Amino acid sequence: MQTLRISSNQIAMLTGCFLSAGMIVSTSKEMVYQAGQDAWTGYFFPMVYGALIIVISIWLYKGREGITLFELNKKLLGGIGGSLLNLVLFWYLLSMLITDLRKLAEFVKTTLLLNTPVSVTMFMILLLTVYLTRGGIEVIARVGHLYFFLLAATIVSLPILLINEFSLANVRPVMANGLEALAKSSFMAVGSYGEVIAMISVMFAFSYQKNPKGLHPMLRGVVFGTFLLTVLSVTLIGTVGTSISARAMYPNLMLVQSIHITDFLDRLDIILVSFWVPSYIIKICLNYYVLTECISSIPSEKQNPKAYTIVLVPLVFMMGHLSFESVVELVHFETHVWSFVTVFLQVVLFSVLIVARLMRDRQRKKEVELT
Amino acid sequence: MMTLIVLGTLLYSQYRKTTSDKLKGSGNVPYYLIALLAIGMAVGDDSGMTMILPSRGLLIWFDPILEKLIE
Repeated sequence: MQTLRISSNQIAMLTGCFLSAGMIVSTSKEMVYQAGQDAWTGYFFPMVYGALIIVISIWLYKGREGITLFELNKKLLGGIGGSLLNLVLFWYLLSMLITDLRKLAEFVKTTLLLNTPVSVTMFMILLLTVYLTRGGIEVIARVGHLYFFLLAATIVSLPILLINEFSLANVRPVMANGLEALAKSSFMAVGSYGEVIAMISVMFAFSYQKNPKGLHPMLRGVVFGTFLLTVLSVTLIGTVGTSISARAMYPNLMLVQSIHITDFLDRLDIILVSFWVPSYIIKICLNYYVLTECISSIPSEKQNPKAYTIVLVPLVFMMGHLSFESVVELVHFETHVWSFVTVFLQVVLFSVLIVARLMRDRQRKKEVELT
Repeated sequence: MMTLIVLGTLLYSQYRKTTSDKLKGSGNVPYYLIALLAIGMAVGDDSGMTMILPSRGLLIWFDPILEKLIE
């Protein structure tokens, strides 16, 4: 059997892509609504949360590299306990996938394909996802690597492209809305940062380096993703202003539409959005891949994940179609419910795993002492 | 239309599964669970079947509480 491997740089870029592409579409709207001009500072605490769960995972995986989180669950909790935890994770990952899929379909309907029904767009994206996912994690990592450069370049160049529209008065006064507003704004982004669990689930199994030197690639990715989101947020608030950003459904789309360099470069937004959409599709592909890995680990014996790639299509499509009645519901789910569910589930999951790991270590120590 | 898409995809994947024989033993359980859920949703559409969707159920139950807490 061919061994799949991805490099540390690819892991870092995939993590960065996972965060920045995922939040580019709509989270910033609710964050600006809550914290006004201070919304750009709201990514710091979620970043600490994301980094914390990665650090805990590194500790959990110590000495057990080369397996997925779902296999680790089974090793630490036994067959039945591990399968039950994998089942819970399956529902979590499925919810994450359908939210992203529907969000992208709604975004494409608003920006590019105005007359196409959302379900048709969603089905097309799903087919593309299945095609890429069947290529394996290496294909996703390579395509992600390529598009992350473009995504990062477009975000970093935004302040320069919008320098004529930017007003520093929109960003000031800093920290004027108090800590409560900042806490609420940070809470909106926690759900999206908690989604790095999908990366954690598979990356330790496919990494080249078992113990990479320096900062772990996933931590590098979280920091870089946060940097991009902060740049985007400052540019948004400084250019569009807080009142419009908090009311618009897709404020970042309004931001790129504000680029007016010359007359012939007036529709630069189409080019920028065409870089953002593939980056988002990479996130969906990775989610889908993790979902197949998860479901193949639920039965007592580990199955071939590829066997579930096509059969998951109808379930994901039906759920994506029926779960949300409108974009407003979708945004509410992502910013209110999702953050709560993510924090609750991950606190329970990691507490159980930490206790199980400590018990296993103690048991092993006792066995060594006896021999 | 949706039911047709769902059934078509399931039939195709069933065909692929039987020809490639990728699943073993209890691996068939999640496979048939997915099929059952997808067909149930396609047939049930907007009736009570949608309540079993994780995201829809969570949205209906938790959103009003969290909305009050945040506001």
